[in-house]
Amino acid sequence: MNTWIERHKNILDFTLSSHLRRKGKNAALVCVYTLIVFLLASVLLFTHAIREEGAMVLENAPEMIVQRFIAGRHELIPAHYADLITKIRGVSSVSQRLWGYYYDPISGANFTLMVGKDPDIAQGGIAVGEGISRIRFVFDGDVIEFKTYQGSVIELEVKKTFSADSGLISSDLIIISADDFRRLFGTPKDYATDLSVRVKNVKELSTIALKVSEILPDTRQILKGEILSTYDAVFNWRGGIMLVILFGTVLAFIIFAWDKASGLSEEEKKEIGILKAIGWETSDIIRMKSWEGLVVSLASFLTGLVLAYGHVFFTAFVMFQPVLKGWSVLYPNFKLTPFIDPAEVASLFFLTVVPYTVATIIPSWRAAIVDPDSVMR
Amino acid sequence: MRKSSFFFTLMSFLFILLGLAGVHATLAQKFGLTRIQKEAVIVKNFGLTDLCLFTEASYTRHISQADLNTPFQDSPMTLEHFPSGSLVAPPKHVHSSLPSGSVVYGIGGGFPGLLKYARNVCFPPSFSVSSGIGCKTEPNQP
Repeated sequence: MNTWIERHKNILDFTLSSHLRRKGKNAALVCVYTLIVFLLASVLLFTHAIREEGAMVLENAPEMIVQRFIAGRHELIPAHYADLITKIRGVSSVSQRLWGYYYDPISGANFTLMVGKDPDIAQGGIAVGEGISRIRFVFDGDVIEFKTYQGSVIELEVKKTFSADSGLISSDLIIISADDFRRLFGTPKDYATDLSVRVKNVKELSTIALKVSEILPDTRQILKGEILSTYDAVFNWRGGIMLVILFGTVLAFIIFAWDKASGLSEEEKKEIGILKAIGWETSDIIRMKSWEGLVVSLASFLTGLVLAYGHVFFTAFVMFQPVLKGWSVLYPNFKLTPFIDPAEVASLFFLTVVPYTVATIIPSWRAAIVDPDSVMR
Repeated sequence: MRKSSFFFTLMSFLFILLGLAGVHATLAQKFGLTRIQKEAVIVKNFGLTDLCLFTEASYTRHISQADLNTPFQDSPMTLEHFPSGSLVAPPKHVHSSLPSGSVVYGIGGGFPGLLKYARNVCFPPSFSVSSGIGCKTEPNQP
């Protein structure tokens, strides 16, 4: 066993010396390789973590939302639609949702206003998200002025502030009473923004949605599964222009790595010839070349992966934040919980390390089986 | 110090860092789950439907509730210009009928598809979370 280890250590010593003789080229390769693994792993870790978190948080989302559409636009829904839906067998409850957006000229941000059943929020009071508290410098007991649809100003007192922990869902949220909401936006009493439907058996959800669309043809139904799959798709990395740009980089790297790994230079061929001439076996040369590939790819993979973990979970995805923040004035401060899929990381390993290592072996095997004399000439 | 010993030391160091990342992930998940449970309670109490990720436009703030004609809802001839628009996948019926859409999807889906395939071959999933559920941005087919 010791002889076997010593033999491999000797081969590795030789390989590393060989790498150091061409240190410029190899350093460039390791840097680019690390960067590629870093970028791919960053996106992979981020998307998995946000998908997991989104799915867990939205597990309690309404089972079905019914929206009314007029001329292709979302319109207020008459309250009596709720009674018609309640009559459908299998529906356990239908509640009206009142929500909308309010543009705040002081901060230049859009707030989401929502009527919620909260015992602390009576008429004249509101609960605000952490982002609003941060951007408007308002805390419990302070007052925020809102301009109503008629141009008059109403003052609402902050009764509660959501903690920064819940920033991912409540950063721009204002919970308001139904009376204040109607006073602010002029929503008629017998209308709601949309309806939230709960059913007795979730397996019947699609059947109930079908019945709703038959009874109320001017509505559309959004099922919880669709809400969850929207978030599954958002960061599924598919439709991203970012990926198309990244694809160019990956392609350039593949060409670079393939050329470096598979195309043996004259110098390398001569080196193999000399090694064979002084008594190295073909298997020794293949071992040496395997180590050569493994040294570069394993070092790059591990470095890239560790850096990506730090980037996503310690710096909150700082490099890609400009894309995520976009033009948002109000952006939630949230730290993702590191949900990691070991299978995805293992797949990334097999797709980055193994092909490069294999690519180094085949040409060296070809060179190693040729007569040393002809290779050296 | 032999070069091979230096290499193994470096690899050991990187593996230790990776192990520490794993320990951090396990510990952070315990705290994270408490926070997520709190968020889930807020979602239930107020009937929320979306994550507060992109507040730049109304249709990006509530992507699961947005009209099917977004972003044109804001005004006719409004071209999509918000950065988050590049992250949100267009509906399938749009990309399947356009060559450019197919290219973007082909490229965008290539690597994750390969990754997913490799994952499924090596580690077959025990269950599927979103099986049979289409993307919301497609029109409902009740």
